[in-house]
Amino acid sequence: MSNVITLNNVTRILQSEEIPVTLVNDASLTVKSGEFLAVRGTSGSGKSSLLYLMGLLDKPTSGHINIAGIDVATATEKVRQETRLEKIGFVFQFHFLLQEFSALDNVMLPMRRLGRLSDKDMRARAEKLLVSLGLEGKTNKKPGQMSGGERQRVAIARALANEPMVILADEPTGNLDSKNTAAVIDIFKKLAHETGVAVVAVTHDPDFATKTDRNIVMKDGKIVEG
Amino acid sequence: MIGYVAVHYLVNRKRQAAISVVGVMLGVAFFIAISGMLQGMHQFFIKRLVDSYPHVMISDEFREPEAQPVVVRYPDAVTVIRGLKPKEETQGVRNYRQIVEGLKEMPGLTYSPITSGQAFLRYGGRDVSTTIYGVDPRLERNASKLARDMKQGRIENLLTTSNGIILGRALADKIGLDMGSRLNVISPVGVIMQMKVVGIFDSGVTQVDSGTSYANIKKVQVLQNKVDKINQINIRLDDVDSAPQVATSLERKFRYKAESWQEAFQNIFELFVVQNGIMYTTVSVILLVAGFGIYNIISSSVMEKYRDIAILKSMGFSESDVVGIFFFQGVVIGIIGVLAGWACGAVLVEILASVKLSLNKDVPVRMDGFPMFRSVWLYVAGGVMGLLSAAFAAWIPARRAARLHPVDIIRGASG
Repeated sequence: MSNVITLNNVTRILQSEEIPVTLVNDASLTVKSGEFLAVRGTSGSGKSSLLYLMGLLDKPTSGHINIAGIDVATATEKVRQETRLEKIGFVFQFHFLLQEFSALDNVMLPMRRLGRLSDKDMRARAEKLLVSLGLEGKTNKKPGQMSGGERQRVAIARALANEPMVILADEPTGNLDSKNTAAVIDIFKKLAHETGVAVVAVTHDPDFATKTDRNIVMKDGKIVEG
Repeated sequence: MIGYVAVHYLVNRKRQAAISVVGVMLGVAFFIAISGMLQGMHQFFIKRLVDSYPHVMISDEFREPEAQPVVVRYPDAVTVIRGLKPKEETQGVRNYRQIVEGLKEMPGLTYSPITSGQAFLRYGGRDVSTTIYGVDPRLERNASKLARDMKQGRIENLLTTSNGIILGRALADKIGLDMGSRLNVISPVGVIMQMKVVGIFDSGVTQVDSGTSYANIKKVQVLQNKVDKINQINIRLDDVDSAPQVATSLERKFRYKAESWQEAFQNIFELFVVQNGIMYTTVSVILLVAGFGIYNIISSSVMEKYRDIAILKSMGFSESDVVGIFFFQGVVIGIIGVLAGWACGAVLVEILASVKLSLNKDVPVRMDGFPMFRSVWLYVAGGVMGLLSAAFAAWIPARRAARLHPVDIIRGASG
């Protein structure tokens, strides 16, 4: 298993108007392909901040982040944007699907932006992803016509659209009932173990953490366990 | 890709988008119609004035009075002259034959020496004042449009009929004269001459038609006691736009004041500038309001789509992609608005052109309807203005959207 993401002494300090707030403090971590990893911690412990740093949505104050051999912490915005497009898939607590688009169109959006496939191939791949996540017959439905669990599965399909190396999930089951939570965890596990995609999920749920390959625990911005 | 997302957003906000389109459409349509009308009026006025007045007029005046001998003798001294009496002499262009010979040599112009002056027309116990122009009909035919404006009689009648006079239609009506009528013409120097109406003209310019008359130059010279003198030379040019240059060159050559039609009607052109200012301000306000409409729709779209912007950026969309998505919406509104504005403007122009006016006969220049100016450049200018206002109105919120930080939005949405 190769290293997908490596964090070396990453610190993120938020320069607020009053006092600087340390969101992530000297974090070092390696995520390997095919690994299903949970990041746990209390609210405000810095686990989401760590995820945003790994997903290049935020820049560290110091330290290095290496994704697929590229030091993205110091890379240009263009490189970071292309890395997000090609190598990273996001799933959030809220599905964040575009309301005007059908499930199929939502999944096709990242593929359209990447522009490597023909329209026909994009459509075929999006349909395949949706069907593999149990959404057959729902491809033309808009988010407003779907249940919470279905929307979250569309969001997972969208995260997988460009065959990323890693899925970063921020409280992906936070808004789901137990049945859908189990289904989403199962999807992530299969993804990691069968396709080799690394999955890093931030969660509050202790049950979620028991089903992952590895857990890391954060406290006051530091990785204290794992 | 950008267009794909933008059009989806726009279709979802059809009503607001339609209102913005109507705003741009009205701005562009009014620009085309109002500028077409004003420019048409300006051109109509200029054409009428240029046709009815000489393109360059040499008069028996000097812009700079001749220097007094004492000033010439002591150029560096401070000179005060009191009790200066003007010469008691009949004014007129001296050596006008020399000037005429000079004009003969110049290509692209025709000229007509004129002796003019004030006179009273007395008929049936009524006196009406007129400016009477003494002309040589053979030269005047080519140097003015009098021959074309003749409604009754011919300009050559001034050669064949002794003491013939040609009157403007409004002047003839005012005193009750008709073709063949005989009247007395009285000059300020006391000469009374019985004349016969041998022609009536109608130039369309009220001031000319109600106060101008023409007679043979010899008769007017007698009438005004200016034997063998002229006081102006009217010049008509092939290229009317070259009048200022020709006037300057003639004035430099002959010293007499040579006034181009542009100089003569400068006050009217200044009025045109004011009219244009009012028009462009009005149209700008309409486009500004349309711009606010577009700003409003794009701005509220950006606010509604905060989460979409966050997810698009997390997916790997760049800042310029996000700008493009929202900017594109404004441009689409602008393009549809401009196209609709062109169509609406063309219809408005034709409606205005078909309006029949029944104006008071005392208006400066008579017209039966709005003389509309039709030019593709008005459509181009209206389109560019409409598109620019739409693009600018969309650009501001689009830039704001692109600068949004996805983490702030995601954290806000999660909290």
